Amino acid sequence: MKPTERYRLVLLTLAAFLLIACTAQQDVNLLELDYPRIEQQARGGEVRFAMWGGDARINRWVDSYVVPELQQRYDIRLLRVSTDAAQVVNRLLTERQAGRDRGSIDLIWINGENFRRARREDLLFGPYTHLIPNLELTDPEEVSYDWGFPVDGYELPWGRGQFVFEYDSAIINQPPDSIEALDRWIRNNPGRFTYPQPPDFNGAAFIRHLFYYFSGGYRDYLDGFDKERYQQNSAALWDYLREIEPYLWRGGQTYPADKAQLDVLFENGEVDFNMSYTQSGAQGLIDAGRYPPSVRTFVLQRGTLTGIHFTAIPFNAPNKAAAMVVSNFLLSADAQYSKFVPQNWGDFTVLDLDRLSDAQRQRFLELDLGPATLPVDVLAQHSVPEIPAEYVDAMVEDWEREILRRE
Amino acid sequence: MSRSRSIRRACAFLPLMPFVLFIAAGVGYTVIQSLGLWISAQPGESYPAGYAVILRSAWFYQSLLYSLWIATASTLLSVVLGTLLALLLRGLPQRLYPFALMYKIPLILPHVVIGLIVLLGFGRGAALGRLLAAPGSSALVSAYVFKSASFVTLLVYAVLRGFDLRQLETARMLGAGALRSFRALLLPVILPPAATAGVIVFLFSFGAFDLPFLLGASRPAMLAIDVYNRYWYRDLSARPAAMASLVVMFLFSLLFVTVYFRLVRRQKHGIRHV
Amino acid sequence: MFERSAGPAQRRDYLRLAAIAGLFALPVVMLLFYSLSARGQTELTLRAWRYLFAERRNFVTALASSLGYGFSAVIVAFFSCVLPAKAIARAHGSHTAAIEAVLLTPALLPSISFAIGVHQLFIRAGLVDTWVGVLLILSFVSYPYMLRALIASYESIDPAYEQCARNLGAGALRTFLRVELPFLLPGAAAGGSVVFLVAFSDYFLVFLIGGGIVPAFTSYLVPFIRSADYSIASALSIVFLIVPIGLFVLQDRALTLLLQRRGMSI
Repeated sequence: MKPTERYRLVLLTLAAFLLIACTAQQDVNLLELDYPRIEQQARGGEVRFAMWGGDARINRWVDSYVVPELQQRYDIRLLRVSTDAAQVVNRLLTERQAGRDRGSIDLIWINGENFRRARREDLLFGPYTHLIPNLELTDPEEVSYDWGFPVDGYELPWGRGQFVFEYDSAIINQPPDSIEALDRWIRNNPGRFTYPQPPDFNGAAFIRHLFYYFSGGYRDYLDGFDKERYQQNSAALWDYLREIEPYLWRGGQTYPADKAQLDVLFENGEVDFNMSYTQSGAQGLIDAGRYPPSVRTFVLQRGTLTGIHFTAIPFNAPNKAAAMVVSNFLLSADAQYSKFVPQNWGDFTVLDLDRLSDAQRQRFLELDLGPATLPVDVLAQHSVPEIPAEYVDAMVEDWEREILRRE
Repeated sequence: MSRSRSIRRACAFLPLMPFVLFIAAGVGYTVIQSLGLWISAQPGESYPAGYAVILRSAWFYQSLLYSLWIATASTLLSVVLGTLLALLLRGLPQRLYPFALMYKIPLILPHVVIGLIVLLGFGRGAALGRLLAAPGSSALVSAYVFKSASFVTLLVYAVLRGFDLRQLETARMLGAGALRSFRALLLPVILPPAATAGVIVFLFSFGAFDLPFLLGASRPAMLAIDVYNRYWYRDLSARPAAMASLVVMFLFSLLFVTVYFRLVRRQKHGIRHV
Repeated sequence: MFERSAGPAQRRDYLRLAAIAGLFALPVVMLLFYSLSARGQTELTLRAWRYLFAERRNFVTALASSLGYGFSAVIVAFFSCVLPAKAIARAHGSHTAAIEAVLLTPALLPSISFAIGVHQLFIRAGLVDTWVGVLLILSFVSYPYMLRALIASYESIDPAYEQCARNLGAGALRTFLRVELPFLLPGAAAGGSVVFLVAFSDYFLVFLIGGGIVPAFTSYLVPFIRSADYSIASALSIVFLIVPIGLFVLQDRALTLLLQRRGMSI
């Protein structure tokens, strides 16, 4: 290499660095970089992660595991912000409308109807997930749709939940593991069952099971939203919910406002069932001393909803590079395993175990999920897919009109 | 008054102008969005105004009436209990008065802590159940009364302190019964501060958010909670209705504020406590 | 019936005091008791206090932030209300009464009725999630208390004092600092206490405008109440009570000392 050439090269690199420094905020550039460069750019950054803050254990896991790991591995400071996705999406809408290019949230925990809403109003950054190395550890067929809505590279999978019911086996011998049995149980034990008021995530999920039951199962809904079909099929659901209302806790006069309140009712023995979208959450609560050791979980014979949840980056995130690195870390085998441990959180992994190294796979397979968690194959056999997101919105709205307001 | 002086006087209000303008703009924005404008990110796209939705919904009237009812109940109870407490304080010997200052504790406590106290007070084991079961209201009303009675006491006690108790003795010596001397002498003194305090308590319990957020039941909902849910958890098509509810709430409150200032102006001795 | 006896306290008086204590001190005792208990256990434990000690970083940050915007709201309120208060106190007429009424209204309105609109506005202005935004919205709802207190103080100052100082050649600033301020201080302290309390103890506005990003003591406390962790919530509430009481005692002492040095009695 001739001296002049070397000189030119140095200049060029310098210029490139300057360019990167100046345009650090420019997303187009970011999407043209490769992952190592993104990681380089992310160092020293700060990421504000908006996540539902209603579960103390999840919060603690993020604070005590994710935060220090990110600090140590990538020199990234993660700040957990307790707001749910609906609120972030709502705010992004106004920011988009006002043309604010610099928001304050870098990463959102999101899925389903909130993702659909965010995409429809073009509130997310992307498509970026093809740049994320750990996406290759997942099965593309599984993670390319979010409740029937194409992901298109705008969100990165994070975890897989399956809806389970929780009960105390010291009180109930034979859990009612079908809608019919549950219905009988509710009528025979007035005041001992309730569900959180939609739009609470778990409450809305509970009524989706009933919707499937009254309209012949999930297969009818795989091909997107059909308003007519929805209206035809949902009438039975509202009739039914109105019918059982007098048998619910407090005669259905009021509903727990959210999952946290249902947890309290269940722990205090005021109701006999709790519901959760985390398969081994009950085991974690037993280990934490909040549940008696006799608590167990069950799924419905016809299956319970299984859904994948994701992370996404807002269009105006101030620190997109660091947000990408954080989401990649959350999808890493290490973080996924830590999240899988019932005492930490108990959320199932979204990774395809066949794509992991043998050692990594063994770790997942050998983890003891505890007696309160159903065997993995039982869960898998009783899993039904989530409904397209539009139905969720419609159902929440109608629940309020038909059940809450009785209009 | 010369022109330059009145300009100078107007200038004196400049430091507060930003506040007033911001609030006015906030209200303006609410009104505009209640009409369905300035909501969508797509230019030119608008939603139908929210008034038709709420005015046709029985639920809205329920919420409104329920909020008014909670406010009325809290106000009446606070005023009666607060006044009694003030009289009780007034009768206390000087030496014991410093200990009685603990009646100010609820004034210092934030509403969320008052909410916690009520939750604990209703019995811990079944706290949540009993609270939510109470026809939606007893917890909420107790919380408001616990907080506001002290406030009423504060204002009423302030005037009672200046009241010469010998007047009562004189009245009794002249042969007036206890009730009569109360009505003729004490009531005119107590009533003005009790009334102003009452309006403030009413306004507060009508539209506050913190306590219903912790103690409220799902049905019927306090107006503030209903708006909050519509604002945060619905898509944009629900925005006009949420904003319209706020406008109605604002107008109602304005009405009571006017009542308040009428009351205040009638008070000759100028005991005004905002 | 309600006479204040000058003589020694009687049994009846102690009963009255006991009634007041039962109403107002008992809840505090209850908080203390719950802070020492744990879910589903009967014996006392320090679990909640230990948790707070272990979590002291988050908890102290939240407390510091709340104290910060509380005090700042007092300062903002004082400086923005001094001139208007004087103008209102010195002018007598129906116009000023109307102006005063308008200026006092924000404290009376339910804050949600304009705060949601302000939230939309702040999103556009980039003030959401910022400390300044939180301070601003809290100032909106709390300055009237300062304004009212300062108006009352100014009404008690004889304008002749000011004229006198001016005649002796003192400038406007000097007159304010040397003549008016000492008179204003007690009122400002009283109004400031209310401003501080309003700002320090608000939950909704801080959560709305701070978006969970601006740390706040109330935002730290509420999740514990919502998820029924009553022992930790109670421990936090006790701190909530102690901090303002401590501040008031301090403020009272400081004010007395200051005014005594200036030869004034309060």
